[in-house]
Amino acid sequence: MRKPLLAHEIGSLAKPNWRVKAISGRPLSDEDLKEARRWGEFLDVETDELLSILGRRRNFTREEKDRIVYYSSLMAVRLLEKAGLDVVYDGEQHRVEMYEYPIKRIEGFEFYGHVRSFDNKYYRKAALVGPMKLKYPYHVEEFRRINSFARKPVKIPITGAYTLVDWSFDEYYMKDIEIGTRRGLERRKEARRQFISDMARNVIYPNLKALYDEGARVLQIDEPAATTKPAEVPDFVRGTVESVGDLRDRVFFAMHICFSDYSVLFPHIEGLQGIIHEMHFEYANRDSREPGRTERERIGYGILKELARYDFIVGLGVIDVHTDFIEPPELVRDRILYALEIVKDPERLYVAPDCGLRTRTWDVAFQKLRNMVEGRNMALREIGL
Amino acid sequence: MKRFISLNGKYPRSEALIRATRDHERGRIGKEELEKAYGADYDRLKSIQTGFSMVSDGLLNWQDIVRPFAYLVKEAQVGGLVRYFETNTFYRKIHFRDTTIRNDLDRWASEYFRFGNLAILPSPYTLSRFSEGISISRAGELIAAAVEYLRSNGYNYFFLQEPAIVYYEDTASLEDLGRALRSISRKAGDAMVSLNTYFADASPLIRDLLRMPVSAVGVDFTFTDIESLMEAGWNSDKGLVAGILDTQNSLMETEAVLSPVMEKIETGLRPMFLIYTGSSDFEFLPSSVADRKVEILRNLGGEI
Repeated sequence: MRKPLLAHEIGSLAKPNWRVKAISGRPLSDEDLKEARRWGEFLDVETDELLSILGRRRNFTREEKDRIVYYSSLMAVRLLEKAGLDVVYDGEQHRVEMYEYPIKRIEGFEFYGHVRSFDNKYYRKAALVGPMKLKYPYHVEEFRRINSFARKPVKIPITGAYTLVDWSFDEYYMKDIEIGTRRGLERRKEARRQFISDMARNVIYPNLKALYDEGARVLQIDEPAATTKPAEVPDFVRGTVESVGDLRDRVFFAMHICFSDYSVLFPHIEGLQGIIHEMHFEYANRDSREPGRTERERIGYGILKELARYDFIVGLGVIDVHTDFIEPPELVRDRILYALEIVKDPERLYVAPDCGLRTRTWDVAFQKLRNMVEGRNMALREIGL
Repeated sequence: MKRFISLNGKYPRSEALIRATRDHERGRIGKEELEKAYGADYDRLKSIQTGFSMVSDGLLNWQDIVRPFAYLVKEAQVGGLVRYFETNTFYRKIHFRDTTIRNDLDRWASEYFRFGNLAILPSPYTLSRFSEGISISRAGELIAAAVEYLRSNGYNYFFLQEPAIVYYEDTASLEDLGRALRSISRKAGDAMVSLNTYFADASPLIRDLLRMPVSAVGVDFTFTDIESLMEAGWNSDKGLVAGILDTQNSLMETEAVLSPVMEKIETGLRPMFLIYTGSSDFEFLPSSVADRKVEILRNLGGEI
């Protein structure tokens, strides 16, 4: 997958109201139906069947719910295609979110309840209570469906081994480890490594392999927790190597790490060269909104100099996903051209939002992505490509 | 040696209260219903601490360990999210503009200290480190004002939560911390004040911590080896708040795991008094799991 300044997305998009309400059992309003029709028309998606199902407003059958998810997936893919991206996905229309969805499909875990992430935001946390075993490769059906209608290459994101481990309790490997002793402290570290390694080999690799067997050639490993525990970065790297295994030369692997202290990744990520092809970080969130190509304006892109020393393709976040501010194409262009000064080779620089756009409306997400592609095109013109 | 048990840090909200906070945020329920849900959780917390010498309200309505201090002063802004040490939780950085204490300390305290006799507050270094525009010394003065008010309103145990000083091993700030703690301890009078460290090995700084003007020091034994504390020399007239239940993991500690630790602490360190508790905030656990860990504490024996 080589193309100068290739443009792609990063994962999630918002789920349309009509999809959320239909799946959660809440009645649909006239407004919801109007939205479905509006987006269908805008994206050239035939919506007669969808509108006829949604017209019942509530009490959908399982088959009907599946068709509703099908249409939200189809529309999400068309949205990305219409925005002009080179690689597409459906914005997680088939999934709940990135932790609970995979954990429910792995034997050995038990959910205990919610823990707070911040303010009044919580997530359901599970504990590993027995041997871990993948129930079935959980993204294959999703890939099959998206690939059946996508007009561009499809990328499937998957939550990585380290993040699944870090966001879970461990009652299995930690069992009977003593507290307050050196030996206990050492055994805790070993238990943690084993947990990461088993998650990589027994869960993530089989998923990636199943996707490969189904025809997927572009896969993204999401590791938002990678830098949470700086001392464990080498374990995260090892877990990634084990997750990819013998697929390293057969699949294009992107890795996405966001909202992190990237400095702790260095120099350990050296070990991911040749395993991970594209390393995508978030930058726009830390950057100024001033156009320009100097360090003063591009204050959010400081870590690039460090990253560019390695042989990864640089996945460049140029769109801030936490704001409705629509980045003008000129700002995107300048972010890209600033980065290109450092990375040098346009085939080593891919363009994307900072992260998934699920907190933005489809209208905002579309405008942001369209401007991202326009900014990318302006940059290409400026470098004569 | 007297042995006690207590909660530590923020306690998790029940599933019902979690639902209520979400519903309130989405406009599905009003303030009154939300308060009712808090009330039910406070009752639950009182009940699980029945018979405890030290009773905490679990800081259920604190958004994070520093947030209430943004509302104690004349002008402060609550900023962006910052990862809370090496956990999957976040706090919001406070930007202090004018640290003059507002005139309604009464109202502030009644909002953030709902019941009990054990007040849990941030320690000056952590408050200063998690914020902008406030020195350790000024942070100490704010905390001292709160402690003075709470002391005169029936609180006689104070936990000052100080994970940052051991996590960052900031020896250069120890002197400032000591001075700030002195002003707090003065206001606390004869009440017990403990400087609770967690999230890191306390042994590199333990000699300095034991010199601090507080009644006890808290140690997280999921990070700290007892022998290294013995080697560093615990010899002190201080109490020990011993975090021996792992609050970052749901695994229930068995007697086989706890007995040797307790024995080593009691015979090897011989602190003036002992308070067994969780390694850090219980909030990292879902409420049902935290409740079970508190039951383990209750069954440790000794005074509670």
